[in-house]
Amino acid sequence: MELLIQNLEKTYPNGVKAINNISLRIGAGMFGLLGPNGAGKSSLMRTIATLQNPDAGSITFDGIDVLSQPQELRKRLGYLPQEFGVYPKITAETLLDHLATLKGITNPSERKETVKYLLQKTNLFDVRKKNLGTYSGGMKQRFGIAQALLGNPKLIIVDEPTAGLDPGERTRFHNLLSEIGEQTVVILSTHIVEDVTNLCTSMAIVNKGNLVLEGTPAKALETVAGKIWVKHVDKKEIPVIQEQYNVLTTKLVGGKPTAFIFNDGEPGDGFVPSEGGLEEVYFYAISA
Amino acid sequence: MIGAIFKFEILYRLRRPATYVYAGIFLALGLIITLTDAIRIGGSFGKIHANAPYTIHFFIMVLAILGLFIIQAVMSVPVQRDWEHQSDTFLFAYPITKNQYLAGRFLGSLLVVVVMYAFLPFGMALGEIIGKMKTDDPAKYGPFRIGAYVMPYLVTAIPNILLLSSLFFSLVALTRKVMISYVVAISFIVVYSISQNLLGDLDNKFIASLLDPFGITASERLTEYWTPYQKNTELVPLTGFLLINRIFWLGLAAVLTAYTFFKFKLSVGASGKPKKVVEEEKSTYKIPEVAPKVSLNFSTAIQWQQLWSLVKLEVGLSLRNIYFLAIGFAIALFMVMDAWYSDYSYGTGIYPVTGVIIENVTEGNFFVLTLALLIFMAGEMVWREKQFKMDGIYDAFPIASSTAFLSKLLAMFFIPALVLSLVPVVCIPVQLIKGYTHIEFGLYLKTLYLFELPRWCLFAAFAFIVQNIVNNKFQGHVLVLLYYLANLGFSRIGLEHPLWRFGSGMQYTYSDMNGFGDYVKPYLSNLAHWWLVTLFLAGLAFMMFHRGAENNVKARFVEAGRRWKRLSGLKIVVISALIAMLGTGYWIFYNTVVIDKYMSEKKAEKRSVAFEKKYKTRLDNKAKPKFTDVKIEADIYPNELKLEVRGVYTFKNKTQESIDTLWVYWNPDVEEKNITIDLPNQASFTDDEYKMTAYTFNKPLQPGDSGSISFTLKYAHKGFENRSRVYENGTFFNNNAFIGIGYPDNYELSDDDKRKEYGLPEVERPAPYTDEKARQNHFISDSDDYVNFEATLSTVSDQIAIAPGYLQKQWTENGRAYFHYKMDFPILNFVSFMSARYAVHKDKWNDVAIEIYHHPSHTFNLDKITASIKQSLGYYSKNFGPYQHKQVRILEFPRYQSFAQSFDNTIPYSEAIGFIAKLTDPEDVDYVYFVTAHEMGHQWFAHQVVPAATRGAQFLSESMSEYSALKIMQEKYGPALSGKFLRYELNQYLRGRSGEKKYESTLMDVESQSYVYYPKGSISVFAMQDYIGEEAFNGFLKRYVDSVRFAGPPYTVMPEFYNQLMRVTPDSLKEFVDDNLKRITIYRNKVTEAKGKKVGNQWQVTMKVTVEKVYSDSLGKETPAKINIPIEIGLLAEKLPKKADDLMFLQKRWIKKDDTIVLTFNKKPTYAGIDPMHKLIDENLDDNVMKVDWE
Repeated sequence: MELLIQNLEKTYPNGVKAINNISLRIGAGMFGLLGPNGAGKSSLMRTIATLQNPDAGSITFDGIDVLSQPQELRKRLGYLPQEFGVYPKITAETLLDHLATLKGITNPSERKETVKYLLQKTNLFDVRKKNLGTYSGGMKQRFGIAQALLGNPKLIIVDEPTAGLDPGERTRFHNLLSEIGEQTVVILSTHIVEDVTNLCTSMAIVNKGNLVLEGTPAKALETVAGKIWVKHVDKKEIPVIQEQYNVLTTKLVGGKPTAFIFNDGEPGDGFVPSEGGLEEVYFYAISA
Repeated sequence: MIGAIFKFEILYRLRRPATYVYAGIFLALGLIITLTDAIRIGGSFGKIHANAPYTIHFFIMVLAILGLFIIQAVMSVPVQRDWEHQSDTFLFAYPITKNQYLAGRFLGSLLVVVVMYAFLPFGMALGEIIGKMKTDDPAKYGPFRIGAYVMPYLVTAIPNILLLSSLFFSLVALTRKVMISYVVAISFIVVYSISQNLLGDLDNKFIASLLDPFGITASERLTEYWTPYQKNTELVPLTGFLLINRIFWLGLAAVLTAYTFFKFKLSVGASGKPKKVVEEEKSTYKIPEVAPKVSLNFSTAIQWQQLWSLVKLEVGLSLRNIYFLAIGFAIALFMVMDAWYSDYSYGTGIYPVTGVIIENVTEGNFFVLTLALLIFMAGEMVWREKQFKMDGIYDAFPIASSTAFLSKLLAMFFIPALVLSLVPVVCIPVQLIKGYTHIEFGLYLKTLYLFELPRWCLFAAFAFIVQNIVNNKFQGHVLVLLYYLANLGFSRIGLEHPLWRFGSGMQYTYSDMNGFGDYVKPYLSNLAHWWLVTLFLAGLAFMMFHRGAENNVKARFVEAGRRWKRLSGLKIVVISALIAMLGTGYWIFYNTVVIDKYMSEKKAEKRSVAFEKKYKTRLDNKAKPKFTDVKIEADIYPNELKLEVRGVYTFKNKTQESIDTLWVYWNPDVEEKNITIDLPNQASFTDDEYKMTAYTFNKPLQPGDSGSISFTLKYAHKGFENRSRVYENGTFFNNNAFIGIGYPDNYELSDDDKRKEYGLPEVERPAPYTDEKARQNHFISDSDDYVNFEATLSTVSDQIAIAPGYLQKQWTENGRAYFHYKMDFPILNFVSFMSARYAVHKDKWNDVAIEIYHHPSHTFNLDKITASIKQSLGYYSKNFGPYQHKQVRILEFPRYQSFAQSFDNTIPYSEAIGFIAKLTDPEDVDYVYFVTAHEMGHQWFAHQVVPAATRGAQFLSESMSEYSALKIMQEKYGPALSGKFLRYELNQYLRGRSGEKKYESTLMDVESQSYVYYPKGSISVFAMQDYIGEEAFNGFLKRYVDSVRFAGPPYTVMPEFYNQLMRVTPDSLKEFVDDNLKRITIYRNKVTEAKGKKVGNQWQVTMKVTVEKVYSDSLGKETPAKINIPIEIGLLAEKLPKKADDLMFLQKRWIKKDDTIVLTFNKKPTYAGIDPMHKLIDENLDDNVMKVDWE
């Protein structure tokens, strides 16, 4: 089971190059797709999810040519878009049951079972008779996850799934995904580096339409190992440091502004070495 | 701070393109109204100037209905906007007070609306100025008056803006639901319609005027009797009903606005309920360890299951849609209203028979609203997933695009199905409440689901298709709307044929007698055609059906191409629909254009003009012979819709000239004809276009010479239009279906405005009665005097065929029924021929047989009709002279036309008026009795007294029949009720003269003004009779009828009537007779005070009255005149007397202009008044009687 993306290209009519010659090979398990806002993550996901056609390149999944047989892919797909809504004046149970029919689960008892299971799994069972319009943001998000899991999809694409979830919900969702991830290709798009760190067996970072890094998290960490240095700084110093060093990020650590820089050797100047996590990898990758 | 918010609001509006669009719409409408004739309301043509203050007032007022939606669009959002964009979260944290915030928002938007609306009068004024420069007809415009634009803007537009603005603003601010403003907008239109319905009833005018929030009804009430002169010169004043109406509604607005300021809270989401969020319940449940197994199935059969699930969902969501609920609510309201008023038709009560009630609730309001509903719902249906941002999920589901498309289309069909299903739900209870129990369920099913639903599905599909192709909800709405609006104007650009207009050509009228009749063939043909067109377009729309994230044109075309290539089913549907629709299109074209010789209105006009120019001077008023004997054989084939007529017309040269050529014309609908003349002749010229032939006699026809024309004419129903003259049940035609001689003036254009466009003189007026030559012809035709008449009719064996005359013989031959009729003395050649499956109701009055031929189930009013005939025969024989026939026959015909007509001993009477009339309310005018008596009157006045073809002829025929009927009603219902009739007639007359386009004539000179010869005629003759005395007056009438019975040529004219009348008129009343017959006389009599006290055993009433009389010219310009008669004063128990006791005291007295009258009576009256029975033509019906104020 493998998703193979080759030389994918997409330029929007307004001239924005959303996907620039991206090739990826994604196997079973969780795959993290990292990138800042506007990097082309969602474009890539939508293209895989058959919602738009690329200008060039090919996508195959499990032997299916996605571009010429979108319907075949859809039968195996679970997709949770980044931004989505639901019909407000209908109950979660009714809508999920309807969507299950559309997904091909046409045996009524099986459908009933799977709807019940997913509602429980996403912690919505008790509110299944309420109209979706009355749901909070987190509940709606969970409903989105439930529908993406309908029909045991072989390919699951989730675009920023944990936005709006509280930490507890997030954890539950992560557990859910990792359970499934073993027999399925799961693509998780996010800008939260921690999610990838915790969940993914492999990952990629895209920026401005380009694939800037690909591999396992461990391999990714190697790119920055021993090259990250930190220092508490004064606000006024920041521009100076930015002049001198490759500053990945400045953030508050313990209430004090702290600069993280990438440097091959010891920079001195009060900088001390830091272990460097995926976050630094990410900043390093997109700063290049 | 208030200034800042105010300014912000205005700047916001100025940045919105919609603001300019709205202002532009107003400007354009204004220009169109005064510059062109494209829109006409309030009779703004003829002698009424295009810029008459009255016309301007009404346009500015009526457009409030359009303004309603613009005001709704602007005024519902100012507060809503902050809430929706959630700017309230920070805005309300600023240091502003609630009043500053509300006032700033409200006033800012209000100012914008006021300015936008001003573009309407501005556009109209501009249109007037440009129009005056362009026009070559100086009579089209009056002088420019700035007040004519400013006054209605201030009096009607501004109050409407204030009312609507405060209403929309307040309700939305308070409830934070824009939905409520839609409901209010629609309710306003419903309330307005109800007030319009109420206005029809004389006694509800106050309520009606008050109820209408726009003030339109009040304005109409205020000006209902305005003459053309007043319309051209006077501004509609802010008085009376209009003033009360404005105060009432503005008061309401003020209260609501104050309440809003008081109630509104400046906090986030505070005024509305907080958005409900479901509390998450923490419960203890066990998540199964393993996900349950599922099997996926994507076989073709499953696609149907998916389709069904989708349709169910789409329908369910549609039912909860706000547009659906709002418009559906309006449809239901209007349906209830229209059903409720279905027992009212042409101002009279009828039984709510199923066919009529269905027709009433599915026309007009229903049509417009359902169309609007479909337009909105198509947008909702197509854009639902996008709107809820569900498209990302939905589009990636494994549903075939065709399934998704089809499910939405099917859900669209559900909407008209649901709305139509409301019809029986509303109508059947209404029928039962009204006491009508003959519920035809089958007819409901047939009409609604076989005729209406397939047609409505087309409109549903059309809006849906456009939405899919246009791919923008708003543009889709506008485009469909524009299409339907353009439809109205298509004929102006030459696209008049139904084939140009989507979904047209499917009208039908249901008749109890003839069922769906001959509408079935064109209906089905057009239905099939438009369904094929729809299928073809739906195929194209499916190709453009949007799926996925990309929305640009190129991507959609690429996708369309892919679908075309990949889906063979699509190809088959589109191509075969295209081929089939070309076939049905040709079939329609063949039937309408090739067979029916379809002609556009413009072309028909031009044809008329060409005819008149070519033949009028050549043929009109040229010497021709007159028919003396008419012999007809007509074979009616109701099943084949065929007619064959063989006739022999004998003619005689009654002129003093020799005639060398006889022009014979025949009806253009004739399929085959054969015409021969028994004198040696040459058919010297035939005009196939206008269907006439000139026969030149070898030897000119000398004075006194005779000859005969024999003809065979064949009619058949071939194309879509039934031109056979025959119906399956209920055939009715007259001698116009045969031939004529001389100049066929029915080709002429009759609309003077149109004639002017084509450079023709105005329609020729009838000759004055002094014209001796004109007296040689009677008012119906110049081709005969009195003829011997004989007819043999044949029809299918289960029908009865009837013509004037007496049945000589009846037999069956070859399975067909034959009837031979012959009249026993010469009659007018104005004869009817009918055939239907009749039931016959028989009775007798002395030796006169009474027969009513009716549809078997229409037995409601047989006794009433019979009684009226008997009473008429009695009264008329006694007072006007003997009845000339031995028989009276009334015959029902289908409701395609609604009139009754009096032929010799034969009175056809429409299904729509008499036979299903319902008269349960004793206070209603019993018009079945009345109409029957009127038609009976014609047996004397028209068939015995035959007026010459001059001015005043309609007085001798119609006014006298109307008077006759009034006397019957008076005899039957007592003198008290005649006040009610006269009041009704008076209202008709005053409204009629208000709508006059050219000039009002006097009774003596009356031409085609029906409001003069019907209502004014009956009031005036009744009043003369009342003043002169019934005995003296009827004595005169009897002598007059005697002196002119069957006379002519020369035929009788008004001076004969007038001179004989003058002989019985006392000198004191001669001026009064002239006031009635020779002048347009208007009284303004009223009582201003009525006080009463008891004096001993007596009751004394003191009333102050004023009397005023004016003479009016033909356009309504008035000059004061002297009162020359005593006027009636009266004491009443009821304001509108019903029984004899209610009329306590009535006396004619000479009254000074301002007078005080003291009456003493032995019983206590409740009301007192002047001319309480409305014997004089009085401009205000409501101020004649007043409640007595007792001490």
